[in-house]
Amino acid sequence: MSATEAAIVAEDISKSFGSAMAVDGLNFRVERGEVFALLGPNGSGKTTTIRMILDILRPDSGSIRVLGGPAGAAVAAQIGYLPEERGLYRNAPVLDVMVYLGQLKGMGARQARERSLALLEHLDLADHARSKVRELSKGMQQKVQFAVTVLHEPQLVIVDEPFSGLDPVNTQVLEELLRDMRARGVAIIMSTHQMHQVEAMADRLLMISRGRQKLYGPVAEIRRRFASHAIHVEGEGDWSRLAGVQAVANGDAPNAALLQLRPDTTPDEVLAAIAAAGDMHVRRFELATPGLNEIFIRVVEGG
Amino acid sequence: MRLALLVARREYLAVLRSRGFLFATLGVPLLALLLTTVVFEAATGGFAMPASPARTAFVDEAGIIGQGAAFTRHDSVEAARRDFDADLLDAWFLIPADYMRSGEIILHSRHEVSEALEDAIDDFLRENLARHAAGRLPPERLAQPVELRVRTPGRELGASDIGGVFIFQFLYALGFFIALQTTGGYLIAGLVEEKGSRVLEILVASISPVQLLLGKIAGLGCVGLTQLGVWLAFALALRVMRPDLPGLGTIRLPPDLLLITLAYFLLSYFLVASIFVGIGSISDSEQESRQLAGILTLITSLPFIAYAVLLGEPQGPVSVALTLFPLTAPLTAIIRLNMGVLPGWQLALSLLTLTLSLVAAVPLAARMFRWSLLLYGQRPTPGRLWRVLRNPAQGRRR
Repeated sequence: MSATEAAIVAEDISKSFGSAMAVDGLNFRVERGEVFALLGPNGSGKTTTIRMILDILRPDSGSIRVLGGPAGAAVAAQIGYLPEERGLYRNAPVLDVMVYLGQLKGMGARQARERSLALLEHLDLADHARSKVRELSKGMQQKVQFAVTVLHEPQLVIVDEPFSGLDPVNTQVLEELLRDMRARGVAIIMSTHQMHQVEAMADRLLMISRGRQKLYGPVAEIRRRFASHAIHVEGEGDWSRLAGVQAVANGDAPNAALLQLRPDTTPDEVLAAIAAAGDMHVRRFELATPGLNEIFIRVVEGG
Repeated sequence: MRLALLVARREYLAVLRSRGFLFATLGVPLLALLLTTVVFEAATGGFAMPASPARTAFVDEAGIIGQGAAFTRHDSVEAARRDFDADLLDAWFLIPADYMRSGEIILHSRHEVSEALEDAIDDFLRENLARHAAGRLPPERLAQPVELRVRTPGRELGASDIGGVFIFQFLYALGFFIALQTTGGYLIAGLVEEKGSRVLEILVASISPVQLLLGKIAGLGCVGLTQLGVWLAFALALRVMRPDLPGLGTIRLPPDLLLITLAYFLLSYFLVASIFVGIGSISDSEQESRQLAGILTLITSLPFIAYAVLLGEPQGPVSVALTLFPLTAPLTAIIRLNMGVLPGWQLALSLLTLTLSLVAAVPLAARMFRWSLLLYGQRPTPGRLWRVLRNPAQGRRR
């Protein structure tokens, strides 16, 4: 196992179930210390891909290296997994469940206990350590589940819809935990349909549809790739008078306008023209890159 | 292996802390005490088909019985045996030539020997000794006229062993069913909970399905042993405190019988546990899996339903079939062994089929379990099930 190798190197992996091709020739790497978004519509092959990383399934062809070694029992203790459909032993005390699942990841009983208590404290759940899981609210259970995922300080964390069902305050707490881990060099794979979370947190993404790779690369670069030749502007003025502006439409906010530029006009020229005009004031001037939501829909609908 | 032990420990403690376990563990000894008393009465006192004195004959080689006896006289051992084999007699006893010295009476009976019959034989001999042999009677014969040896077709037992063997048989069957019910119940409930709550997905990201299953089965096996231990402790305590209670004092068993019983118990425990895993894997709800488990329990209890056939035709095709079929073998074989009517080859073949079934069942159960992990929410149709069982690659992993 090498500490410098990428957290995951997947080369041309495919997996079919009977005649259905679940994953078809995926190639990707996940680096240590990055948040990597795994995106795709329902049934696109995300869960199958995750299960191959976890060695619950093996690819029919291609290879996966996880944390410098083959996927399997040897690296299982270095992985934290938060499945989308989740749950815990409902009739057991929170602390017991955490210690048990921590031990299954190779922790000693005392270590698992101490770390569980520290995490519960951090998540404002210390008072519930002895409560049974079923006595907790849904949001609290969600936090406990997250705590179980990171309890053993894994090198690779795979979280599927990590923030679903959480209020904004708790969402922020978990986001911070994930950012801390990223800063410590942990690789984080995040599968979610909440595109604003991806925009806010992910460094790179892989989008798959019907098992095939559709988009792969840094989030910012992909958004630029989908950018149209347009600008969002907020302020006062008759934008249609500007040279180089082909059309003016409603923008992405109540007082914003979307300026479609002529092919030979650059955004810099438009900004200079606004500055030169005495009767125009601008509070916001931004390249109209589409949100991931829009990109997602365009990619999926485009096949 | 360490992970399997962790799983075993968790399963064990989880069950031990449950209320149901407490009720079963403490309630069963009381129930058993009640039932054993009834069974003891049936085995020794006589309402379960006892040999009738009217259909009991004797052969007097010692020449001590006069005319007008309470039992039918047969002139020779051959004649008595012939009528016994032709089912004209329930039982016959031989007063051997050396009776005056040994006091030994050999009673052949295919039915249970009631106390009433024993008493009748005892009275019969006392009366005849007093009337016809008073002059040549050694004093110890007067004190104890009958040293009864009972022979059922096959194994020979002292009269006092009979109650013990029947009680053992009964306790074995009770323990067998309770262990299976306990294990099966907890195994299925656990699997269905883990599937339903999706904990399973986290578990198999940490531990291989085979280790997980082994841990569960071993942990629940320990639950069964603990339960058995508690019950034995109860029985021992009771024996010490109340030696006069029927049954407990009379259990004396040959070690070979104990060993064979243990082998059957363990093999069938793991076989049935594997099948329970399969049932838990293909069921969506606890209710559904309990229905399937009920069918399994019914099959394993077939020997009880066919008990009369086992007694009536201990070498008949039904008896042999139930001995060789792995799920009914554990009860049938022990019942027939106790009756002394289980030929060695059938015992060996029965243990062999049981072992082979276990060897086949474990990987099949593991395969169904893995497959169930991959098909959340999908109905396990027979077609799908067959494909998975045939093709391990469908659910392949470490």
